[in-house]
Amino acid sequence: MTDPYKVLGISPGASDDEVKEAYRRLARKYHPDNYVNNPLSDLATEKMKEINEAYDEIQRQRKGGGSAGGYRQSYSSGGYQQSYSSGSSQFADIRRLINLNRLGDAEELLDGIAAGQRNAEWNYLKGIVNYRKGWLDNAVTYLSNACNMEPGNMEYRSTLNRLLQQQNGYTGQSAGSSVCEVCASLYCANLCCNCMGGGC
Amino acid sequence: MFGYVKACPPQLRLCEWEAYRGVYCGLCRTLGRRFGPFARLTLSYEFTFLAMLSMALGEETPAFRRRRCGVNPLHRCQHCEENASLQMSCDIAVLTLWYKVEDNIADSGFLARCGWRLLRGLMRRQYRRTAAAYPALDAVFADQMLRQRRLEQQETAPPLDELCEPTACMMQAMLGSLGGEAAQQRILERLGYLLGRYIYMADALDDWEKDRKSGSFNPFLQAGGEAEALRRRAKESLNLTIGEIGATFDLLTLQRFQPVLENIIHLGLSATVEEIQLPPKQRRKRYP
Repeated sequence: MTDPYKVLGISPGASDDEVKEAYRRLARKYHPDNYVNNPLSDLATEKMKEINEAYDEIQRQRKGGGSAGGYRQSYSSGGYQQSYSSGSSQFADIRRLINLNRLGDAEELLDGIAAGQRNAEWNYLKGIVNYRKGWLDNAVTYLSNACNMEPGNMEYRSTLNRLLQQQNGYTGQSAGSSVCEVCASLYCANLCCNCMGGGC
Repeated sequence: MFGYVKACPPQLRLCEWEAYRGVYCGLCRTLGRRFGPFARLTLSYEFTFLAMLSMALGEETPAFRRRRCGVNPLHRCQHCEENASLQMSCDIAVLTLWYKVEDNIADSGFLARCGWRLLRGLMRRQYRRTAAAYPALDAVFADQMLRQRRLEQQETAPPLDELCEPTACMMQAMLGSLGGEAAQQRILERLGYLLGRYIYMADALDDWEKDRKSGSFNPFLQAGGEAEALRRRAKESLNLTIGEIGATFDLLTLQRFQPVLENIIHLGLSATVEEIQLPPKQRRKRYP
């Protein structure tokens, strides 16, 4: 296994707080929420796993083989992976193609659907295909359409919101302390949501 | 279309700044050694970034040495010693310049065209050498330049995303040529694509006032509207792209230069957008 301290980017002499801080910083960076629908989300998940393992390993070493403690549980990525295989979906096969990153095929199928049947989900999927291939402006347009047609759908809304935040200059990375605070509070809010969701 | 991918110096530590300058000066020196003194004029921050990224991904540790500056002999500064990454960056810079010149020949008036023709004649030998070394990249550049011309000549302007595509594909091929294992290749290709998008849009935002006066094509002018709305729209599109660039870049595993490259991606790009969105007279003097 690679050196867990190297994975977290700290020296073996770092204090427990420094380890926690480094872990928290990296976990925030590679959090699966930042890579939802991203064609590289599998790599982000891998990176997150590596960081989790490194943190666990350090905790284990420092506690002399004891348990890793509950701190990092909240970051585990299990429940985040977007699943496109919902049975009720009208476009299940297109969702599958998108998951396989076969964007050309997915787009062809989407374009083949008659104008009358282009509902909110069609717009959403069209937005995702555009997002994945890097056509970000088109992606926003289609996702907005999807949200307008079906305002109550959280899947559409959260995807669009993330892009709109980005449009206004919020990139999840901090330029100064004020932005950092925004990050932190958003992140805490997110954690709370997750905890509650997990608890129910 | 250069000078949009650069660091934000106030946020760099001195040692990081020296490394960045060192690569910049090393690139200048390598250009001079490989393609003659006039090639130094093609030096740009874009290719400094490319060279630095290539070094950051490679196993070999680059060496630095204090040397006399090739342009100002009274000045001594750190130079990154010539290595494979710098050589590759120089070659691609020359290749890019060749297609830029071809594009200018097609676009300019009579007098300027003669000037560009002369330059093309002078650099033909260098171009042939680099095209032979990077045949795949040369083919992509040729195709995409043609595609760009066709897109810009269409009766109704295509959507912004489509207009960005040629530059994006060129950068995708460029960064993709840095190679590495499959996962790294995927990251580099998306990063390249998005950076190309960013460069095309930044260039368009930078020049829109000039283009409006001269009646040249500009993707942001196509949509029409007031100056304020135009700037806001351009900035939103750029921010969207910068956000994606950041998320993609974070996935790369770098061996060195991480703080400098992070500075360029996470701070430099948005600082550049803040600057070029202002009318030319209000812009502050750029950092060295």
